[in-house]
Amino acid sequence: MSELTEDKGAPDGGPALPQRPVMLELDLTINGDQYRLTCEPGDTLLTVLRRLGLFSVRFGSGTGESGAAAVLFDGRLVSADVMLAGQASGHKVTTVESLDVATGELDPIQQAFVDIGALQSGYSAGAMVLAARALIEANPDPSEAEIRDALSGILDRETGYVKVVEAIRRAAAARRGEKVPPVEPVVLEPLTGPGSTERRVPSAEALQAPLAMPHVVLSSDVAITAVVGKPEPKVDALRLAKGRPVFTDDIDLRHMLYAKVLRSPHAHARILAIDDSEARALPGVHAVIHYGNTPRVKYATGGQTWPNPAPWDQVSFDNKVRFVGDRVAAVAAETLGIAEEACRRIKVTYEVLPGVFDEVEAIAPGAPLVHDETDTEGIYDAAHNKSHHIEGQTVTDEALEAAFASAKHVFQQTFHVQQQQHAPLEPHITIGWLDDDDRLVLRSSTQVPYHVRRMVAPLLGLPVRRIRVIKPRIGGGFGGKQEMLIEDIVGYLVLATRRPIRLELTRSEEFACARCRHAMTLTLRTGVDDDGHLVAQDMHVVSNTGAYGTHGSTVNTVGGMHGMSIYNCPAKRFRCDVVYTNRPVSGAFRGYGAPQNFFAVESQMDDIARALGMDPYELRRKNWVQVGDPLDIVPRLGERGDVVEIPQEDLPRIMSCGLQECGAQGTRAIGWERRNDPSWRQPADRPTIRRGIGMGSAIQGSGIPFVDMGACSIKINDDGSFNMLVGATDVGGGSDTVLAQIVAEVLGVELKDIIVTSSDTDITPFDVGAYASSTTYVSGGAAKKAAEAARARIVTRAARLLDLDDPGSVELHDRRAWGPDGRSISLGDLALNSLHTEDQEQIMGTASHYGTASAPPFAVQLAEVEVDVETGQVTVKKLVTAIDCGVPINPITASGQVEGAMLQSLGYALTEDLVLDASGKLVNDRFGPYWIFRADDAPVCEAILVQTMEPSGPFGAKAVGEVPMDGIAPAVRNAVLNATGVKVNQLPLLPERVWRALNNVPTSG
Amino acid sequence: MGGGTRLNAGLVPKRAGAGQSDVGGVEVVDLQALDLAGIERRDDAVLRIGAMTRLQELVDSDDVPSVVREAARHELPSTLRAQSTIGGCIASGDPDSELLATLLVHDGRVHSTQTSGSVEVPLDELLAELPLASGRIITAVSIDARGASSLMRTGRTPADRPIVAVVARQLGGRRSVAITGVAATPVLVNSTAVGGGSLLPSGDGMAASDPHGTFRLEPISDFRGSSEYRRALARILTSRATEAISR
Repeated sequence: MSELTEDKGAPDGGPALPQRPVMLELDLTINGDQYRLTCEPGDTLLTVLRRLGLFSVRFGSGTGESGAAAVLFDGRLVSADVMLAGQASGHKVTTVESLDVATGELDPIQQAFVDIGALQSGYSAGAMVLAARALIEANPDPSEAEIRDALSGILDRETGYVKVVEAIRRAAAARRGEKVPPVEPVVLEPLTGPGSTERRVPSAEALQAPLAMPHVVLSSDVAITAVVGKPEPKVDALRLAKGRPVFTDDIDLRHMLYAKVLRSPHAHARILAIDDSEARALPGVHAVIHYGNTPRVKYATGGQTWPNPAPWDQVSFDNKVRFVGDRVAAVAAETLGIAEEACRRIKVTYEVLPGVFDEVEAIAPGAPLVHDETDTEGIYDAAHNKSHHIEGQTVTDEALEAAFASAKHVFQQTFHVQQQQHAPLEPHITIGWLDDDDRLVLRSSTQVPYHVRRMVAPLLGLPVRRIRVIKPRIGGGFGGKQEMLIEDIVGYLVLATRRPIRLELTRSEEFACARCRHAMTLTLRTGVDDDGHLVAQDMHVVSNTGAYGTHGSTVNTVGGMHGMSIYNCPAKRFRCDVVYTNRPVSGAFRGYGAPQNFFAVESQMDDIARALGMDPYELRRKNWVQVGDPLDIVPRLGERGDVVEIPQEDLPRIMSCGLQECGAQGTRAIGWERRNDPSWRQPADRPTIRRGIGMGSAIQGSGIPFVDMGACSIKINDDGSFNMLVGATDVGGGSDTVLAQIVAEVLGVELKDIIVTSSDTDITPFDVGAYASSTTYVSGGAAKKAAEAARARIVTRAARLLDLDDPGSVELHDRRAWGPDGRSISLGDLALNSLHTEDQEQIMGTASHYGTASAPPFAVQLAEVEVDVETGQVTVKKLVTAIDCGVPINPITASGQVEGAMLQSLGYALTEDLVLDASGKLVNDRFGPYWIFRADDAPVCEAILVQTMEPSGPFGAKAVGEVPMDGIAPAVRNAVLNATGVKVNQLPLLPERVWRALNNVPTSG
Repeated sequence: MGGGTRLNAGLVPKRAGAGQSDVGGVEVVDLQALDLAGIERRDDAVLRIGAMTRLQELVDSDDVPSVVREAARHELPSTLRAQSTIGGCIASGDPDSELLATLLVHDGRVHSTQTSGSVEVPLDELLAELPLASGRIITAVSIDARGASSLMRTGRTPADRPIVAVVARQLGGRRSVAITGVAATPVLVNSTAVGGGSLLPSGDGMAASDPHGTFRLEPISDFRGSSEYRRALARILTSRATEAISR
C-alpha cells in the first residue's frame, strides 16, 4: 500500500519575501559598558550578544533548557536563548567575558573550576561560572543542595556535576577567606593482592576528602613519575574558563550564508518530484540542492578508517526517504529565516510507503523493505532488511550444544534496550568557506577530521588535497560526531555559492536526525554448573540500525566481543543480525555496543546468582577473567576478524587486570553487605519503600588493534618549551592534556612547557580520531615515541655540551639535562645552542603509533536504589564505579570521565529513549521530555581509580572513557531486583514498567 | 508576554496561542513596564500575587505557603525560574504543572483585565477556558494561604516533570485535591471519588450534571505513563496526600 501526498510549500504559493520587520532600538548595559543597538523584534538576547562578539554565550537548545546561553540579567541568572533582546532593553547584562581583566589570570571562581577539573569541553563554562558567581554573591556559604539548585538550569553532559559542585564550594570557601586544600589524589589502601589489608574502612583523611578529588588505589609496580599521574590542570583550561571563542560557531565571516535542511515528514516514502522554483525565486536564496541536482555517489557516513565498512547505502540526497528527518533538500540563503522560508516553499511529491520500526518485525516476512535500491552493494540480506550478519564462536556448534547439555542449569532470557541520543550540548555544526587558494575549508564539530576530509572528497568531486578540515574545541561528542553528518552539505553549498556557509542543527534535529545508540533485542542463553562456573554462553542479538547501516557492522561486532569477554567460559557463541528499520539512524555511541550487551549479560548474572542462592558478587568473582586469561572470542569477532581456528598461544591475553580489586573497592564504597540486611532493605518508617544494591561489571578495549593509528610531532623552542602537534581529537575529555603530560614526562619538563596544537588536517599529523577509547593508548603511544625521538636528539647534544661520552647517561628532569656527575644544562640553553650557535638543528621528534593489542580496561559499577513499590518509581541514591584504566595519566580528567559516564548511563537506565509515534515521528525531541540528569537530581557519584601497570600502554595507561558507560544500567536493574524481587528486562526502567512488574500487570494495547 | 520563557521557546501549547518556535508572525506585547509584580498579603487569609511575579520570587517568599514554594521550585530549573512569571504559568495551563495544582487547592482566583473591564474568576474556570481571549491580560492571582497542604509526585527522576502529582489541602473541615497529568490542565477532583477508584472532576455543578459518575477524566497515554497507570498513580498519590494533611 502506498499513498501519494504532496507538500504544497507556502500556503499562498506566492514567492513574496516576508515583509522586513520594523527594527527595535535597544539600550543595554553589557559588562558595564553602555550600548545602543538595533535588532529585529524576534532576535533573542543570545543572538544580539553573540553578534557583539560575546561568544561565551552559546546555543544549546533554543528553549532555555540547556542553560548554555545563561547570563546574568540584573544579577539574576537567566537563559538568553528564551529572552527577546527587546526584553533586555534598559537592563544590565553580564557575561563571563566581564571577568577577563588580566592577561593569563583567572577570576577566583574560574580558577576553582580549573583546579578541580570541573571543565571538560567547557561549552557551558561561561554559564556555570556566572551561576557560581550569582550564588556566592547572594549566599557566601551555600549548601550542596543550594549549589545544585543554582546549577539546575545548566545541563552538563560531561562531568556528572561532581567537580562542578566542588568547584563552587571551593570558590565560596576561598571567598570567605578559608584555606582551600590542594587538589591531590586521595590514596586508598588496596584490598586484594600484594600489599593489601583486610581493612575495609578507608583512613579518616580518605573518608573526609570530597568525592570530587580523585580516589586512587596505587599499584606497587608503577614507576614514580613527575608529570604523568598528576592532577594537572587541562592545557585548554584558561581559554575555556574565560569563555574564549574556541568552538566552531565562534567566528564571524563576512558574507556568510546560512544553510537549512528540508527534512522528510514521512518515515518511509519515495520522492516522486521536487519543485524548487518558488524557493529559488525567493530573494536572498542562493542555492537549493536535492537529489535532482547533486551527484549520486554512494557512501557510508560512519567516520571509520579506510576502506569504510560496507554497505555504502547513502547518497547525499536520495529519491527515497527512510526516516522522519531524513534529508530531502538544503538551502543556502542570506539569513536563517529566509532559508527556513525557502524550505517551506519547496514542493515535494511523496509516494508514502509503510514503515517498520521494530527490529524484530523488520525481519519478519512481508515487512516493508527499507533498502530496495539496486545500487547499494554489501547489504547482507536486503530482502529481509538485514544490513549485516555477525557471527563469532570459540567452539563448533556441536561443542556448544554439548556444553549446554552438560550444564547443570541453563538460563535463557530476552532483553530489550532502546535508542539513546548523545545529546552533546553543542549540536553538530560546520562552517565552510573557500580559502585564498580556493581550497575548501571545513571548520567542523567532529571527532574525526581526517576521516571527514577523505570521505567528503569523492562526494564533492574534489581531491583530498583541495580540502582542509579544522576541528576547534568540541562541545561534547560521545561518538555522535564520529560521523560525517553534515559536512558534505556545507561543501556542496560552498562550491555552489562561493560564499561561506554555516549549517547548525537545531536541538530537535540533533535528537531526530543525528545518530543514536542502537536499540537491540538480545537473547542470552547461559549454562552454569552447580558451583556457578559458566560452561556455555550463547548470545543472539537483533540490532536496530535504523535507516542506514553506518557503524552497524562495527558497533555490533565490538559490542558482542566485549559482552562475551568478561567471563571465562569454555564455549561461547555470538550471533547478531543488524536490521534496517525506519527509525532514526543508529551509530557510534560511547561504549560502542557494549552497554547493550552488558545489560543482558550482567542482568542475567544476577538472575543466575538468585536462582543458585549465591551472592552475585561472588558469582562474578568466580568467573571474571584475570591476568593471563585468553580473550578467546576477540579474534573471532574483531574488526579484522572472521578467524575460527586459532592456536591457544596466539590468542590475545590479558596483561593487566584490576577486576578483583575493583570489586573489593566498589563493594566497600557502596556498602554491599546492606543488601542482605532486611531492616535496611525495608525501612520501618517508610512502608512503601524498598532499598536495594546492584552490581554490573564490564570490559572494554583500548583502541582497535591493527587499525587505529595516531601520530605526533614535537619541536623545541628557544626557551626549552616544546610545540606538540597531534591529530588526536580532544572532545572535552582532556586528551590534549594527557598527551602533553606524556610528552612532558619524557622530556623532563613541566606541563606548561608543552604547547599543544591539535586537529587541523593541514597542520597536524594524521590520527584516526577520537573513538574506540584509542586516544590515550594509541595516540599516547605516538606522543611518547615522538617525545623519545626528540629526547634522543636532546641527550646527544647535552652529552656534547657536558663533555660526556655516553648520551645514554644523560637524564632529563626539572627542565634540564643532567649528567651522571651532577652537572647540567637547561633545556633553554640547549635549545639556543641548537637553534643558533653550533651545528644548528631543529630538535624535533615525529612518530606514529598503531596498536597491535587492545589492552582492556575494566570496571565494577554499583547502584543503590530506593523503589516505591506502590508507584514503581526508582530513585537512585548512589552510584559507584571502580575502574581499572591502567595508570591514569591524569587522575583528575580520568575521574571526571568516569563521573560523567555514570550519569550518562544512569539516563540510559532510567529516562533516555527516542520515542516515536505511530507515524515514526519523534515525540520527545527536546531536553525536557527526553530528560538528561540535572545537577539537582543526580545521585551521589563516587569514582575509584584502581591502578594497574599495563605493559603495552604509554606509562602503563589503558583507556578510560567508555568502560564506565557499560555497567550502570544492569547495576540499577539488579538493585531493583535486590529491592523488590522483580526482574525488569527492558530499558529504560520507567516507573510504569517497574509498577507493572511489581503488580504483574500486563502492558495494555 | 511576561517572562517569555515559554513563548520565546515555542513551548506554548497550540491551544494557548503561538505554538511555533519562530515568533515571526506572532504579535508580542512585552508587559514588563506594567506594575504587575509583587506578593502582597491582604489579610490573614488572602495573598495576592502579581502576574509578573517571577517563580523564583515565590520560592524565596516567606509569605507564600510552603507547598506553593515547593511547587514553584519544581516548576522550572534555576535559569527559567528567574525569568518565568506566575501569569505565564497560568496562561500556559500546563497539564503537568504542580504550581497550578497548588494554586487550585489554595482557592486560586485569577484577576484579569480586558477592554470591557476587570474580572476575577476561579482558577479552575479560567483553565477550562484557555486559551486566553485576545486582549485579556492576567494581572494577578490571589490565593487563600491558610490550611495544611501536601504535595505528592511520581516522576522518572526527582527533578523531572511529574507523571502525576497530587496536591491536597485541608482547611477546617474542607478538603481540596488537585491532580496534574490526568487532563488537559491540572484539575480539582473529588477526592472521595478518586479514592473509590474513579476520577471525577469536583464541583457541585459537575456532580449534578453527572449524577451517575459516567463523566470521568480520561488521562492521556504517552511514553511516560499510560492512562491506566496515571489513574493508578492518581489514586495512590491522592491517598498519600490526603493522609499527610490529616496527620
